[in-house]
Amino acid sequence: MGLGSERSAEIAVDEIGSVRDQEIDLINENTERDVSTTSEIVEQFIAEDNVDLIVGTFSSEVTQGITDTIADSNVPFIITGSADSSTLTETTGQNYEKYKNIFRTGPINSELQAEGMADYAEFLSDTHGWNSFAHLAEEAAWTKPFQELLPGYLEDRGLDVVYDNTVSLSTDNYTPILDDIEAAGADAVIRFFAAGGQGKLIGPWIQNEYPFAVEGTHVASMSPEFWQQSSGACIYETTSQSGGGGVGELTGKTMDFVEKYEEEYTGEGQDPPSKPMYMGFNTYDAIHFYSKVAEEAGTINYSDNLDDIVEAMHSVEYTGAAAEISLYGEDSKYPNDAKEARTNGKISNFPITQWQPTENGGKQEIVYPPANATADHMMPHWMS
Amino acid sequence: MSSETGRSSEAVLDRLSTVTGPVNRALQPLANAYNRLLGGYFGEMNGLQFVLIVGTLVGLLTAPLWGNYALIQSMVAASIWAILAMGWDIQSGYTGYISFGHSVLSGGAAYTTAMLIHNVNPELPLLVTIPVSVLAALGIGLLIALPSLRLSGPYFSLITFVAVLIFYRMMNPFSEYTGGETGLSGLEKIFDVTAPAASYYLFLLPMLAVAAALLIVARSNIGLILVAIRENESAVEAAGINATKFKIWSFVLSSIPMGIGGVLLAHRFGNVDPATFIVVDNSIEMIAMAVVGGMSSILGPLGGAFLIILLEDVVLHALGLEAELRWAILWAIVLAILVFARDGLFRKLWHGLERLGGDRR
Repeated sequence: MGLGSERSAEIAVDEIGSVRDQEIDLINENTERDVSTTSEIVEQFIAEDNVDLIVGTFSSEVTQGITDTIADSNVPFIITGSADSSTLTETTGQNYEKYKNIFRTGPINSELQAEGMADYAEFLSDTHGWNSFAHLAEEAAWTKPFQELLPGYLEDRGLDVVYDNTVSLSTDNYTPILDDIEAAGADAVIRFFAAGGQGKLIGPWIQNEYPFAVEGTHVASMSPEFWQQSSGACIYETTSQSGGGGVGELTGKTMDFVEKYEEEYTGEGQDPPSKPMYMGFNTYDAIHFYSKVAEEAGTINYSDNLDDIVEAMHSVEYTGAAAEISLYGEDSKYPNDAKEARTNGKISNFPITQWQPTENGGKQEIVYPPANATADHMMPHWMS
Repeated sequence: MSSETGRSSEAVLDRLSTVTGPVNRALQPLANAYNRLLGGYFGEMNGLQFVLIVGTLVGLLTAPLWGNYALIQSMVAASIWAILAMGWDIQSGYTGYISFGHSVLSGGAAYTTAMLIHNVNPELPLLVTIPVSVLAALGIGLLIALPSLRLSGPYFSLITFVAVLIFYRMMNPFSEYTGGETGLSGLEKIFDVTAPAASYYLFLLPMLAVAAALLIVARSNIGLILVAIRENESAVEAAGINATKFKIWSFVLSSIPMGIGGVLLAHRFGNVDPATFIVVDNSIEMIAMAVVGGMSSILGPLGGAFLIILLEDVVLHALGLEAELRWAILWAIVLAILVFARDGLFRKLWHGLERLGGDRR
């Protein structure tokens, strides 16, 4: 995930070259998913390197741990990894003046994702006639909005929530949970895993051919290498991901970027990921977006002209590789956060990919939203 | 093998002392002046040892003049961890009752600070939150000490270990108060990003004060009894001294620096979270620092904390190694020290200097 993001940032910086006649200098650091490590890195960015923009951070824990330091410094910070809605609602939403230099250009926040996921469940219901859903979330900050909102959203759409549970990150044995979901009569389980879970749920699921589908969000499954890593156990598993895994055109810019990435970083002797992954898309887009903001604002001097920069952040609309990007303004529910796109009232910048079988292995396909789909959603063969 | 290498290294030291002895004698008057004034409190030294201590102090105090930003950051971290390692040492190192649960004490203090700000009153001044948090560490310390110190050997260690697990697991169920996985943020951050030098002293000076206070205690009769408990607890009892009472005292003595360290850590980054403050790894790291430097010596754990943090943050980081690998190497070093220099590097250095100084006079 981190390496994909780092490489994507390099591609974006190469493409842009310079902003306001200043060559862009990119500094990459690894957060190691550790709050204190990241805090020290961010302090050096601000005080030593005098950076003009900070982009990144995957885990919500880390992002929330550094927001105060960054807010005090006024350096613009664009979040491109963590999706937790409270990261912005509890900062820009509570004290806009203090936190106005903190933004997210994508992914859409987890409250909006919960709505997108409910729309997707409705799509599954229309496609396969599934009406009973199980909800399973790992115990983490980013899943809280799903825990709070998704069951209600599903019921609003006339779907039944027959199982609702939260699991500890350290859960190793998913068999009893899978048994319970089966006993509850679910057609599909919508699960949310980032740190925990990994292959521990799909292993027993596929071995025992449980009669329900595995849907939702699973960060490990976003990796283009996950088929090999899981020895194909991820077949039929879906996950939402910005950029749709880089397997299909989303905006007209998606595949150009993916091809550039593959040219540079795929092949003999290159470390995975062989595609940018979701943070790569968002990071690439964020850097391009900010170069447009800098032009629009006519400045990158955040110490003197932060308000001009913030204003431009709100006014710029930019077609990225993952989505059309524009941000919510100060007085909205999600100040400085990425706006969702809607088609017929349904959130449409929320692509979902599925691992589908090929002749000699498996590959990711975009199965939702229908406008971007590269393949039809498949139900596990033992369910048909 | 180790005793043989020990003997040969001693022989080398003795030969060297023909050169270093005169140097030591030249420095001795300075050391003697110190010995007369403060030796009674902190222990006497020869000339070489005196130069080491004074040199280290000067180095620490002048770090902002010669260190870069990253080094100052690491030394801030090392100062906090030195407090924790010394706090662990006065209890576990001195009495031999090895605690795996000290991160509960520092974490408890840090969480008390954060929870006071979050759940009670965001306007509470540091003058209120700091003492209350240190008292909380003391309370938690007594809570663990009272039932467990009647036990001995592995049972005591096991209980302290379990205390961490319980404390860690309580974070999520009570996330309304504790902030769960992400913890609580928004505490006053006393490290000023743009003025690292000034901030550095906010961590260094409390660390030096804790070191001085613990040294005085460790060299007093209390320290002697604690060591006697480690060496032969039944003999202490036979002498009519209530060993359990002194073990509880050691926990009290330990809880205060643990509380101070925890509060400093909370105000270092302005937030608390279970992975940075509570996890059992933190307790093990304190132990590693104490062991590397030399248990039951106070200054050994201090040196161990600086050595481990600077190795991890500065030396191994400069080699471009990933965090996991850096820690794997550090643990291998800890293992090597446990096998080959069980008394700790800084104790070895101290005794080495004593020998290099030649005859004491």
